[in-house]
Amino acid sequence: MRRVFDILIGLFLFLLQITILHRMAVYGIIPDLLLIYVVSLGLIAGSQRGGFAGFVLGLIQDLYFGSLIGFSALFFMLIGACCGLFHQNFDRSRLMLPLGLTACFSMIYGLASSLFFLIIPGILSFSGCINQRVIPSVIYSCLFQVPVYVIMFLIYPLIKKAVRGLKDRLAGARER
Amino acid sequence: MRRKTVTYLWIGIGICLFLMLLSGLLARRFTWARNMVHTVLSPVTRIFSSASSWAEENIQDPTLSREELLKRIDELETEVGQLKEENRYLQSQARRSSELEALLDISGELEAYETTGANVIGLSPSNYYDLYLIDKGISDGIREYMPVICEGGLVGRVSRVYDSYAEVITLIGEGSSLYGQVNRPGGDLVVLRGMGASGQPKGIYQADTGLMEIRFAPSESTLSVGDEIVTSSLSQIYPPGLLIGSVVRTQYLAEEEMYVAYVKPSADLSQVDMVLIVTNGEDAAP
Repeated sequence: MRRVFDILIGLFLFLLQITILHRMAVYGIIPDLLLIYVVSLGLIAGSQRGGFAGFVLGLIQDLYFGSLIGFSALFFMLIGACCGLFHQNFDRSRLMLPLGLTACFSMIYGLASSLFFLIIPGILSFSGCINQRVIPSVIYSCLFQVPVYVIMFLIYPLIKKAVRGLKDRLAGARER
Repeated sequence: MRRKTVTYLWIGIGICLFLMLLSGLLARRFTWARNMVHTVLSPVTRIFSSASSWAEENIQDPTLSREELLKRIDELETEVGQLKEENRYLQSQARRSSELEALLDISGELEAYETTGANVIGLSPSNYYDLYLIDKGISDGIREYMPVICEGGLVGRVSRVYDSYAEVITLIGEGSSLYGQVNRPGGDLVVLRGMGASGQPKGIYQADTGLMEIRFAPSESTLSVGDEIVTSSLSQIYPPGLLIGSVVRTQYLAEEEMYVAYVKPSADLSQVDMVLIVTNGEDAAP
């Protein structure tokens, strides 16, 4: 049930990214909301949920736009799972770790996607990729990381409570 | 990490690599899966797109100066009580109708061609306006390579078609290339290529719109800043005479002994909501 919520929230952010965020682009740059979400989810909910949501949402992004299906799914799944490694032992009220991880993974994902789709086909030079795509996107993603993480930090305990309540009610109904 | 999680991860990696192999090396497009995802998400995408257009019209620009804001407040105070939900709805309908009228005008100019309108329902998740999704597909008679036009001029062409939607590669997209002609008597024929994110010239680079480039030898052309470029009759895809854009800068590349002219599309690619698709371009082309 929690995984369904994870996917629904991720889908909402994905749709936000491909529609509304383009209207709010700063110098044409938009943040990668799915990556931000997968990082936050991995930290808050652990490797399994982070990896699963990353896989499903990445696959949806690939099916919606990508020419290489499975590429984003692979990266988002690994990012979600890696962030989950920090799930047990970190102070959730501190923002440095989510910010650091977002910057790091945004850089890695940006470089990998640029390498596959721009540098190897000879469309763009390495320095062009770094200056025009990767660095601006990393900065903007870090800026968006803060509100997304704070909102998730606040609503995830509520979701947990709601899911538990729903399960209890279903169990009660079955006993009756 | 628990052993169970690691097992799941390996299964996920295997699935992803298998899908990448199928779609990358064996060129499988997974049309059925794309159609399924699109069918489920498209109603929500439409709502989001409408909400975004509404917000753009109704939310104030935060960069307005104090005087402008005060003026705006004065204006709004005089309108309080008059502006109601019905008015907003009517205004949005009026905007839509003016856009449709503009498209109809273009459609009138393209009398020899059959055209159909479509809504833009999604933009590429990248930072560039290089790819659109439109709400018309194979079932509406859309095919690959059909030209796509909007109020401001040429937008691009249909690059992929699915059952109920299609992808449009814009003029600035990497891989986009077309014949053009300088819009003056005896205007030279040129080849324009979309630059996407690549090699953008410093000083005039606009990531939000992007540019096209024309490469030419000094003896071949006399392109200069301000020259308008229109589609050429040499093109087998685009109807001739459609406005593509205008030259914003020329530059000499000493290494290649060539000139390059940068062309900005006349259509504002960041503001396209509705487009017109020429459905019989090749049949009607002279």
